[in-house]
Amino acid sequence: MSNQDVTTQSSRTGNDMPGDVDFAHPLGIIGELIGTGGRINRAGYFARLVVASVVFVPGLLLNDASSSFSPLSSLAFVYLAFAVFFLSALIAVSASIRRAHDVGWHGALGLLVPIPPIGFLFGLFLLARRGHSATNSHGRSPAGLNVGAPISSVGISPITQAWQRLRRKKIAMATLSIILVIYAVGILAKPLSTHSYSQTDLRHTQEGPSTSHVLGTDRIGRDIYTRVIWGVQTTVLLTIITVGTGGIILGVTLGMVAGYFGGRMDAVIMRVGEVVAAFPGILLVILIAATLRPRIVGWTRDFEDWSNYPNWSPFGGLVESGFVDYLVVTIALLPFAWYGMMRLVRGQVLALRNADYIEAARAVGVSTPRLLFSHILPNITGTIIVTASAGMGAIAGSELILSFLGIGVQPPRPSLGFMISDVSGRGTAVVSVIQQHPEQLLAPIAVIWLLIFTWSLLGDALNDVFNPRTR
Amino acid sequence: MLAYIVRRLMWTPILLLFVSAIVFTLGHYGPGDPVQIQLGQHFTEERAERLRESRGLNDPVAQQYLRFVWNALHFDFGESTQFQGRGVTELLGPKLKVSAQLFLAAALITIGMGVPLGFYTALKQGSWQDPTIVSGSLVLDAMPVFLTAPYLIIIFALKLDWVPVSGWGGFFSPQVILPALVIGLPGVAIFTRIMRSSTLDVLGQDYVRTARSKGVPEHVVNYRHVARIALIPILTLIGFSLSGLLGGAFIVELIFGIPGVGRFTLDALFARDFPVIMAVALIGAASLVIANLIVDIMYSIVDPRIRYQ
Repeated sequence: MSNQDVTTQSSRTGNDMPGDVDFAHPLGIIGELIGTGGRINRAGYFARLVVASVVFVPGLLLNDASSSFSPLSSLAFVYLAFAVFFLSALIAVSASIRRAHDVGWHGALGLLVPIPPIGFLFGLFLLARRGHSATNSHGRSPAGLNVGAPISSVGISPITQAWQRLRRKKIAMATLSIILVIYAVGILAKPLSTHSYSQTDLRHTQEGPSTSHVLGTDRIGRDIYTRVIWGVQTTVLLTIITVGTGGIILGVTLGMVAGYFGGRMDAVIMRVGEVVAAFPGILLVILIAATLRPRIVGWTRDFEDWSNYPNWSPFGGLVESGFVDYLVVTIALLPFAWYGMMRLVRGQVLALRNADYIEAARAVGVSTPRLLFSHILPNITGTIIVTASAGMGAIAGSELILSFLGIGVQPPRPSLGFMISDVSGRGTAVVSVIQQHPEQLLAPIAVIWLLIFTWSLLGDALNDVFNPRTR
Repeated sequence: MLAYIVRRLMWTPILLLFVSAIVFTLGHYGPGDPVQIQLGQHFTEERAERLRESRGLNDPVAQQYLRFVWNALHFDFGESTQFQGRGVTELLGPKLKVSAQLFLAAALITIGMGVPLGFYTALKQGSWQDPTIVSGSLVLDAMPVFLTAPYLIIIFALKLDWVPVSGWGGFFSPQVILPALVIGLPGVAIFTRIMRSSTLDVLGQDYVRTARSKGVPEHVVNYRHVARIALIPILTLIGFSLSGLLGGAFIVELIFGIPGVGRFTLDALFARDFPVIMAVALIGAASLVIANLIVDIMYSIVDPRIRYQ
């Protein structure tokens, strides 16, 4: 962000504190992420590490995906993956350099961070270490969260304030860490699995937990533990993709457009939303998933054939890679995901549209997109975060039902819903299964239960934190 | 207020028209050639052409859509492809009746448990009961029906032998209790939460304090001054929050072996019987729209303080 935003933000609090220095890198957001000058505080360091890990994830996925494509294209995937890994490391290193400045060391020590065992410990150390409260040779102290420094709510962004309040809530931090662990397990399913998720072993079926099969095996001898973590990966990816595209990109953009421009645009978006909301959620999801699946599979096969000329394609194996399932489920869940977000964002934008600081920015001649994205958007982040986190659990539940009904992610790729229906035979047999082989059912159910429960608790806590008045 | 009701009444048919357009488009363009699906391995060009002609599939799309809407208005959703020669309406009718009864029982449980719990927690705000009940209802909310259903069956049907394991005996038979509980329990959390916050809102109002200071007995204040008003917001949420229970209802019908819409739709999904799926989606959407319309109109009558623009 640039200086202009800093002025906007501090105009809300009426004070220009040095804390805002943290948000005002001369090179904007890119400079914030890969610049190496100046100091950042502990919260800033943590945030940048989170960003680095988030950047890391698509790299892992690209790397995983490379194995399911033809050899030449897999090479392209590996290169892409490495580019992503490099970017992630760049962010982590530059943040470490600036944090090292903050604790009063030479910045070059930050280069240690990518070295596996030492770097991890060093990163934790940098995170734990108190920054100099006074100015040192690298610049002024960033205001905010250094332990011992006076905590002032003046000049700290709403997000930081909310984070400070959230950190004091034990339940919120516990649920947040459970969610992070579940998501990490899902993303790291490949290195964490002990067997192959589709490999059957008819000599060892329906076995209880043992050393070679931690949670036992199912009726055709597949390892339940491995299948559960791959199922978690499916849920994790689908919740992220659906809430990311449907809730955040589609919902927020449409909500801002409807709220800011009003008029005909608003009417159209709202009416479309009403039509979508007229369906009982799951029925629309089932309808879309059932009717569109054959079409989308067909299109993808056509695309594969078309791109397969003369006889090599970078897109070979697209259907086999499970891409189509993800696409179908995401498209089916999209209408479910955007409407609530759109309405809330629209309401907030309507309230903000005529605020004094927006008027002022408009008078100075700030362009409309800029007004929307860097003046209004930061002030509705709270609503967006609360709504998105409330949506995650609902999306996970719907995905479970879709997969259970057999129109979600298709076997052999495991999903928690399919594991349940596979074991229980989609009917009363569930009772005998739970009496004889409880671990086969309880393993997938416990994970999804924990995930939905922690998301709803976290959503509540976030709501308290961002909207303190409605408690 | 009258203008509002009239506007709502005029908008509803248009909304339903859009809904039917979505259903028609998805059913018509989504799955590929319906004739090919229906004929399967008996497919020949000649047969297909005859079937197309007899079902009017060679007509322009607009004409087909209008026919779809016209027939739907007469509760005619075409022929099932899975059961040759039988109308969707004829097949769906009895299932709808079963599902509606089951859903009604579930809704009674959800509202009957959620509203008193929410009211109670609001009165007990600050004591240990409040967070316990709220987080307990959240645990139930997150619990998948795959877990509640088998355990309730094991406890109440197998161990205690109070009710039969599965099957369907109508709204007034004891068999309805377990499936209705399984469908209804997750929704309790929503109603507890809404009732709690709306009661807290009302408790802070001036007129409640006035009533207390006049010396009106506590229980009279609670039930006459607070509960009545706090119930009003519940009304608006009935439609939307109950539709959220539908996913659970689909699965519960399977587990308990209830011959309802959920089971039927699932069979239709596997048989790729799209007329049935379209009919279920259309009926579901129409009933939700109409339920919301009724609720909104009731709301504007019950609470004259609300002024719709």
